[in-house]
Amino acid sequence: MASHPYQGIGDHQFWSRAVTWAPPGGLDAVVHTRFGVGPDDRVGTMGSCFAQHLSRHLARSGLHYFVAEAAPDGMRAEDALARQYGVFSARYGNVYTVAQALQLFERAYGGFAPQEQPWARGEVVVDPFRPLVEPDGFADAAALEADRDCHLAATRSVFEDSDVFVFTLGLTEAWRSRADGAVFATAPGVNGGSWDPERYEFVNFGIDDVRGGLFALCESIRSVNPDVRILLTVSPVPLIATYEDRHVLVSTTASKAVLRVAADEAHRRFDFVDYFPSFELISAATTPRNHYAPDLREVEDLGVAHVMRTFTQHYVEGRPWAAAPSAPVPPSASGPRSVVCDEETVAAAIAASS
Amino acid sequence: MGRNIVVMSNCQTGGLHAALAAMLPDDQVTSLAWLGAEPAGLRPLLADADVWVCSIPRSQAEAIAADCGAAPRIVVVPTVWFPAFHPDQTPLLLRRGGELEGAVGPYHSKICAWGWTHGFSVDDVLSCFRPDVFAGLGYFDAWAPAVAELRGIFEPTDVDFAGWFLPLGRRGAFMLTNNHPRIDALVQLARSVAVLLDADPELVRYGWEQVLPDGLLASSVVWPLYPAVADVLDLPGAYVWRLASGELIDLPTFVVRCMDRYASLDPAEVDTDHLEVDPRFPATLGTSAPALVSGASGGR
Repeated sequence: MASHPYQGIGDHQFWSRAVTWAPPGGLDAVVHTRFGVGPDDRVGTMGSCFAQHLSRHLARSGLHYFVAEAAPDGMRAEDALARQYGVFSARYGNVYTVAQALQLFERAYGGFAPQEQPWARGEVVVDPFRPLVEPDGFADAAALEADRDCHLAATRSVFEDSDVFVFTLGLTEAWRSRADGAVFATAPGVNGGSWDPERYEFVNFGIDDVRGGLFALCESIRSVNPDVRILLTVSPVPLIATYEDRHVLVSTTASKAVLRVAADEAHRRFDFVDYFPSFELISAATTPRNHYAPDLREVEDLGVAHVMRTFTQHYVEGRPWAAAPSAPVPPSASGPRSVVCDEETVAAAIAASS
Repeated sequence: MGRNIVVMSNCQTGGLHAALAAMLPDDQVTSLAWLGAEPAGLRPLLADADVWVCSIPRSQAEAIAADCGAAPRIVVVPTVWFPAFHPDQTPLLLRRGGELEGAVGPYHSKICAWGWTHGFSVDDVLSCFRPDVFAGLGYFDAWAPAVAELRGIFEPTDVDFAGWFLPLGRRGAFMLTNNHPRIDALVQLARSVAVLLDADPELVRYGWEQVLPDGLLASSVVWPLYPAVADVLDLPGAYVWRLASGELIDLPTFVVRCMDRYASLDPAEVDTDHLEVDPRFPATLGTSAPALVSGASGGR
């Protein structure tokens, strides 16, 4: 028989064995892991809204979810949550784009000082780079500045003291300052500030920008934390809106494709970077279940649970990937059966079937 | 003039008949149930039958047909048995013969049965309905062996396993109990048969699941998807048993009723050998009460 390169490759490499016959809750796209996550590892998180699920799971799972910017003593839990303490490892809010993350690193270490001033929201001001972390805003620019100093110190700690840093890539579309390219989490005017096309511009980062930015981010974090392990994921949550004049589904696909390619290339480039396929587990039409909520955007709890279960099995428990057995086994392997119903049962079923 | 088609299966018969009749409107479809022995009215029907859809072994069907001088085309369909959704469910056979009727008909909980035969109290049994116990008993790993066993059941039949199973796998729990398929599963089975019998493809494809009544759902037990078991299948779960009467009972009620039912019996009368020889049961539940620290029990 002629040989060919696909002889002897793993079950996980064949669609039929890895996907078609996967159990409903058992589609598992993790085959190799570059590191594990132990109970003593401090796990830092950053990223888009889907990353919040990971933060919550880490906090509940017995792992060491590293929170460098904790709520002040005595603050009620609901107030702390409203002010985004513990939502991520520091109070940077959602970091949707790679550019935003890289600039946050640069701001934390003094490499970048954006010209953008605090945004007004009614009588108060908010931080343009995390406008939602203080629902009531800051009384004035000085209060904002003081809080930001503490926040950036905590952010440095996240970069320096995390044993594992989990970054969830969310978007490629963003708004930035025309003055110095400072990237914002939300469009000016949405959560503070005001829209001024002379001062702000829309940007949809392409693959070169995202890839280059992600490489720089990984190298930057490693430069202050030589032993850090970085886990990249891509959020499966679609864009809530696109500013590109095209269908939002088309923009979503393009955006996620860019992020996924950048994550893949970072994984190939750096041996301290691993990729976890939360995007694939949720968003692929080939998953056994549709895990999206009725709005077809938010991810349902069962889907989140599937992602987190897969994460735990591989990164915490170290369980290897396993294919579903495909060979038939003799009937009765599962013990005695009750396949002969009594006459009344069958008669009732027949009557009710017609 | 249509064909005479005789459908003979177990409790699958009603749904299978209804679906085949819908997909083959030009044929005359008649059904009767096989309740462990040849039904009295079978041979007269076979005498005029063009097709016999049955879920007995082919050799047995051929022998019966030959014996009564009939020569219908025989289409063997499987008797579906799939315990992946309800791994705790088991029949209990009486050593003197027959099945033990329990709190929910012929269906029993392995955990309840084990607890009863080893002297557990109701509270002891209730405390066993929790994820770590399910893990120890292999309930979270029930899918793959159940698929493999079902594949084996389909092998000697005329129905392609993948063609039946894969469309169902995306629909959620397609079994009401380990031996009672939902109407979706029976319609899918009928599709395979209808294709073999050259049915109109449009009628085969049509969503009969949304049209035909589910006789088994309407008239018999629905065993719950235990929450922790449902989690690993990406399905919602709850401890709610639907009795044949339509009554809904929660876990504490179910366990109390099971233990009440068993209280009048001598464990020696009941065959629980399949549990005794499974090393996971003594290892997880222990062999004497109290086996586990109480604490976990569930309502709905």
